[in-house]
Amino acid sequence: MAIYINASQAISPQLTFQQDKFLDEVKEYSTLMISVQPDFKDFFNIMELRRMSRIMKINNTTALESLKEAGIDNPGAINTGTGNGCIEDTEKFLNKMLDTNEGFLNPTTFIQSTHNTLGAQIALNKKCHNYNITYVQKTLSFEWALLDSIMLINEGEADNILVGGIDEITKENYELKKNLNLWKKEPFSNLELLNSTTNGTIPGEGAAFFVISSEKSENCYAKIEFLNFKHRINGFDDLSSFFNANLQANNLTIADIDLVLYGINGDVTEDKVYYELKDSVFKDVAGGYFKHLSGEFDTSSAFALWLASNILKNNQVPEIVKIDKKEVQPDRILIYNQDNNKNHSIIVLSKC
Amino acid sequence: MNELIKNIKEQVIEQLNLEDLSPDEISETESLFGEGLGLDSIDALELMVLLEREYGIKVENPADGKEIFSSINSMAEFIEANRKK
Amino acid sequence: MKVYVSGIGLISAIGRTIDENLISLREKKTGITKIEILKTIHSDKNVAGEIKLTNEELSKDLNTPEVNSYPRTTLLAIHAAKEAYKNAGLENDSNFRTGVIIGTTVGGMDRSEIYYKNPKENSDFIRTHHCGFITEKVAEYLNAFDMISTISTACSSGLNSMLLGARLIKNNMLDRVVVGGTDSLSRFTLNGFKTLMILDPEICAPFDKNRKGLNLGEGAGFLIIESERSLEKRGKDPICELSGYGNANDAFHQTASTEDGTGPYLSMEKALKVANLKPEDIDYINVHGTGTNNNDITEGIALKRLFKNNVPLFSSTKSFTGHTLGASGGIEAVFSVLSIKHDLIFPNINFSEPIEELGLIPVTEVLEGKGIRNVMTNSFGFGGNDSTLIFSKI
Repeated sequence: MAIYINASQAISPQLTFQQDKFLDEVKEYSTLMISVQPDFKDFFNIMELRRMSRIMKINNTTALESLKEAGIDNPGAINTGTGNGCIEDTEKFLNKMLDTNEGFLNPTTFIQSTHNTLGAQIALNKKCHNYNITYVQKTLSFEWALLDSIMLINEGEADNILVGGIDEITKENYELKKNLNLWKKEPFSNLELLNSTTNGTIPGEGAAFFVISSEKSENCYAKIEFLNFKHRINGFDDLSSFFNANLQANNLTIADIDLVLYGINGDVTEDKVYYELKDSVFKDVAGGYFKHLSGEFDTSSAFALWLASNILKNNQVPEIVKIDKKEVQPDRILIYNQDNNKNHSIIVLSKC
Repeated sequence: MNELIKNIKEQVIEQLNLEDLSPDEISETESLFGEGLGLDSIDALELMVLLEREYGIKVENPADGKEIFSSINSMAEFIEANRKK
Repeated sequence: MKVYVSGIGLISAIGRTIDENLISLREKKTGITKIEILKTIHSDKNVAGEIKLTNEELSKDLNTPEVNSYPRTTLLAIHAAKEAYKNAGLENDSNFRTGVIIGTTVGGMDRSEIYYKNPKENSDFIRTHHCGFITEKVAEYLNAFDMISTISTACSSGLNSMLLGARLIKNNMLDRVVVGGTDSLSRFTLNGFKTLMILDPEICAPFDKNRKGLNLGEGAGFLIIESERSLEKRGKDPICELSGYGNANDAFHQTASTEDGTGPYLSMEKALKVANLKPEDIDYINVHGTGTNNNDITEGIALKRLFKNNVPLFSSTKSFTGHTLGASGGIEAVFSVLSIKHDLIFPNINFSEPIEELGLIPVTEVLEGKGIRNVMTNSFGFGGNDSTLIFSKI
């Protein structure tokens, strides 16, 4: 069954939320890429806002605005994906517990430390009693939420589904992960990712929500042709056959793809596979990238889906997205992301 | 008592992340829950943490919160009668 | 397409294996005791369903790569998943797609509690903090990688992993799925529940008029679920069918359930519909029954809404195991399968008087030979995430 994206909203480190222009201005960062936040008082009252951490604010705002955009009040399901969930509240509770040796602790931060606060708060706000799951499978968290949503539509369980990917980064979490050599050792511009010669990347965050449906609305952004992912792939040959088999299974060939969005993150070791693909399997296809805009985080593929769906709707590939300066007006986009040669994911979208 | 009420209001604002409210905006007699300030059961738990930390009062039964926190005045009276510090 | 259960595995405070758990249940022997393994200042004032094995002991027993490099949730999950795999007689077969789906809430929190403030001591811990780590390690242990997923919907996480696994089989995306829930005790959750003031300092009393709250517990419960085709190919008889599943949201409050039991009612109703059963077909319900004031009254109201004056035999096993959070659905699904397999109903220990408004009396003695055909099990979580599964005799 065809699946359409009828609403697409993102809060990210770039000006992506309810803007008149499509990425014509780009924000530069050198360490943490924190999301650009709207004035949340435009969306919630003081009593509602008082408990929301940053992730809850960006989660609730993008989710509710997506529903509004699609004109859907009671979605058939709410599926969310998050790699790390509500880290800020988790850290607040954990730190206070450790600092006070299990002293006076706040129930609010504990309650809101659970990952499913994300999906549950949306349900609570919309009084939506339908299916509701939060996926936490690292860089495939959003893919799982999307796959579940597509399955529910195919099962006839729901017509319109709210699906999103959300993560936040905190200074403390950034510092802890520094020890694993995940980040660039020195400040590094997000606009220089393609010129990187070192390991490590720049961490980011964001929330991207979509309303997907079996019916195309007037506001339709794109059609999801397919989604597939694989946890382990043995070598480059296996990877090329993963692409070929998936395209073939969906009656497509490489020539049908007009633009590939690669998950390049500036870590020279991790990025090798993207460049290898770009120079072989997709050598005749225009290439783009997105993590210089969003930063690296577990649900960055949700940001990529926001980007791809907007490219198709606006008929325009922002210059900042292009790897090569090829002129391209894509009808079909493939998003490819992976995590250290694991968790390979493909999403293919076309114009609706 | 007035000093205590002022302190309680400031502590409530801090404990419940209500920094956008000024102490004057919280009525001493109106209900803290429901129609009044609009607090809920999670806030009641937060206020119990406040009582223990600031005044050394341990409330054993969460159901008692309803009465203690019915208004700023009732909170002040309860604290006056039970405070350990 | 039908989905079958072909194997079970379990570790809880009342036993390290299926057999040990079954003996404790039959003998009405609770696992709720003083806290000894978890290092907390609250150990003298609280009891819990604690497994009396250290991480080192668990790790050694499983032969996991490095002692003390896996969080406790991961060790418990591997322990139970391994038993389930063996119980199902499953072997890797490249002709069949095998997946692993796990529900959890705390992930690697026990290690984070030690190292968050001392990352220099063991900087690697942050890699094991996220929930997905557990599933990756279970998949690695069983060499089953076709699809892996982790779900975190608070206390309904375990049941939701089974619901997803069943749907993946029905959608012909997997042939066999290792599904379950795992959670360990941690200072984080113990202190968290303390702030909510819903911990009973003594053994909990689910569905009792004078219930005072819940006891936390830990453990892991896993099922192997399989397609008919996979079972036929290896000539294996299943234990029972996973016939129904339902997922709904209460959408009322972040931690409390609505007074009319809407979420629980909807998840049970949906599960009946998927199983194509009527309320009167249910012979036993392993209820969520945490022992908190709010859960038991609202679950009871939902039961009466759905079953009217004919609420089936029911019991909560949480006064044996404690509330194991994300693992509870996993553990209680295994108990439900055992109920069908042995035609057995487990007692709700520590019950004396019914809740007045409900008048519902749980089963308090071991019942055998009732001719059980269909068993329902419930899990309700923070955020109003409610789920129900139904298992049926073949």
